[in-house]
Amino acid sequence: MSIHPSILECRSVGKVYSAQVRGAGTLGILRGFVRRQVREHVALANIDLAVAPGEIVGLIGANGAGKTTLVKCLTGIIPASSGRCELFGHDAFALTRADKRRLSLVMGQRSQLWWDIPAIDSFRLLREIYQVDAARFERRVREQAERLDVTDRLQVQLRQLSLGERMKMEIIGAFLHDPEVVFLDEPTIGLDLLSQETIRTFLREVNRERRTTVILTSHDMADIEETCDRLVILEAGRILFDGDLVGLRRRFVGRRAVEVHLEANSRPWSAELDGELERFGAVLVREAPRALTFEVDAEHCQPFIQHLFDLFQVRDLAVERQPLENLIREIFRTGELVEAS
Amino acid sequence: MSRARALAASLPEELHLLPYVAAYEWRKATAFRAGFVLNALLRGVPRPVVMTLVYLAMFRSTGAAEIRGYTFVDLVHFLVWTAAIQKCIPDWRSLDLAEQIFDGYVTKYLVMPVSYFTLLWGRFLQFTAVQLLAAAAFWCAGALVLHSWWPQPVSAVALAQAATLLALGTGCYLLTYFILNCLAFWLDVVWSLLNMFMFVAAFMSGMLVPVALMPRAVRGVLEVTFPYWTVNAPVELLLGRLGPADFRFGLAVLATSFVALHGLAFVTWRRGLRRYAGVGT
Repeated sequence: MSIHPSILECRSVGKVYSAQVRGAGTLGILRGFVRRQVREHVALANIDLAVAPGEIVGLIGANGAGKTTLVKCLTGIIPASSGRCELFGHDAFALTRADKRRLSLVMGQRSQLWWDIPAIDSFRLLREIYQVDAARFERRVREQAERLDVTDRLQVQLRQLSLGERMKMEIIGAFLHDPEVVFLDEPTIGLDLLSQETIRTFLREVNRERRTTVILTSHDMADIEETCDRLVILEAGRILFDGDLVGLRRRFVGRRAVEVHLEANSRPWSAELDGELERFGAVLVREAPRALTFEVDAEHCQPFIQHLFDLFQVRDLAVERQPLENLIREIFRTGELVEAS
Repeated sequence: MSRARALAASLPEELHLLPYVAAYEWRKATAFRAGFVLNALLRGVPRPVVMTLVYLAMFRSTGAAEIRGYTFVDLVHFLVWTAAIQKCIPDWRSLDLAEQIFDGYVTKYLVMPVSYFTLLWGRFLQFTAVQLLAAAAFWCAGALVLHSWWPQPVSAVALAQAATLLALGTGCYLLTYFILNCLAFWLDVVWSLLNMFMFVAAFMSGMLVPVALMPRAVRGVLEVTFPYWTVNAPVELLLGRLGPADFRFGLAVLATSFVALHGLAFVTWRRGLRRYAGVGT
């Protein structure tokens, strides 16, 4: 996808980490003690990416796919081993102070705020660091705290807040200086559904109102589906897919996993029922004595479920989005890789 | 050159931030009352108490009236001043940088438009302000209880000279701890190194035994190191055992050490950042 002008851009970016390899057992440890073995790990390879102002880009991939490394390269935390990462038209690893005032980073697993004091105290220091004037600071803290429903928690020591409240405070801190680009690395990890939804709504609203560019990494497809317009799938350090989320959703994400638990007196699954699946484009993916899991397009999901009740004595039923891993496997399998880059 | 110019241009901003960082650090330091009392108020007190008992045992067992010109009372006075001075010296717990590097928390500072050194000096400012008050309170409390027996500075000039050396010396200590913390970019044995340094520095600074009691060769070496001029020399200035010429020499040693350590700290930090991968790669 070639978009100009870009607020951030990667050109043939690669990142290689060196990691020590140690043998197993006492002998392996002793060997490693005498002679270190270092193995290179390619975290990113030949990444080309351009993001326009105001876009919300979802960055997904399995563990170790290179999402966080890419975010770190783009924010200038680590240098790329090859290629060039640019943010605001400058080398990302040599950002000026003025550039840094235009960006923000939220790491879901690493608190940006100080653990032992209330969030409002950390916000006050951020206000000075980012040179936010007092009136604007007060207004933004109030507005954002109201939107995220944590107004009465601002004065509470961070360690005494729930995980969801802490993440909301992180987000308030990240948006305090009205950044042009915000990187969020798994912001909803471990949160309850309500907190996740509040954060997604907040991100969508801020993007709409201020045209803030958002780069969001997540393992949760719901984060991506409900927040992003564009999706980048990383696998083993390479871009597997970069394109419009609507198209992808139509092709892959629109699949649902339907898990059916049968009563003891229900008819069991048998091969002659295959024909019943074809009508709905469903596929049996897992079969246990009294539990069946099917995959079906979202649009056929409802009639398919109704038909399942006609076929079986259903004790329980669950419908889930297709897991991310299945999605990636499906994209691999079908060979529909790079839509655009 | 352009980096130096950028640093110079950002200096007013960084200086503006210093008091805010110090205030923030103050809120962190006082978040827990027990921790604050233990860390701020009792810092430096147990060691002189223990050493007084050790000296008492030595004098009693040998029957000596003095050791190399130091009577028991002189040594206790020496320990009182080292206790007050030690309160103002950062220790290895003053920085949590190594921990932040290991756990990936240092990441947050790297995207902020602020130098990590500003955060470092802001913390130092807060620490020094609190510890100076604690040291003054400690000295006043002793003077109130023990009156004329309690050691007094020989002159206001000696006090000013000692304070100057102490101010520069504590900066050297902080930079040394910073450099050792930065080794976490490469090593996973930083805490061992910090502990080793702390013990060696305690010896070099005269906190364990006055340097004057050590052999001449050892004294000669220690007298060109910053720990000696941070603790032992200021105490001897306050006791009237060193004079203005010594002060000038000490000032030169500390100023040189400070500049060299600052340069080393800057290089270590920059090089370390190039190795930094954070957590969650």
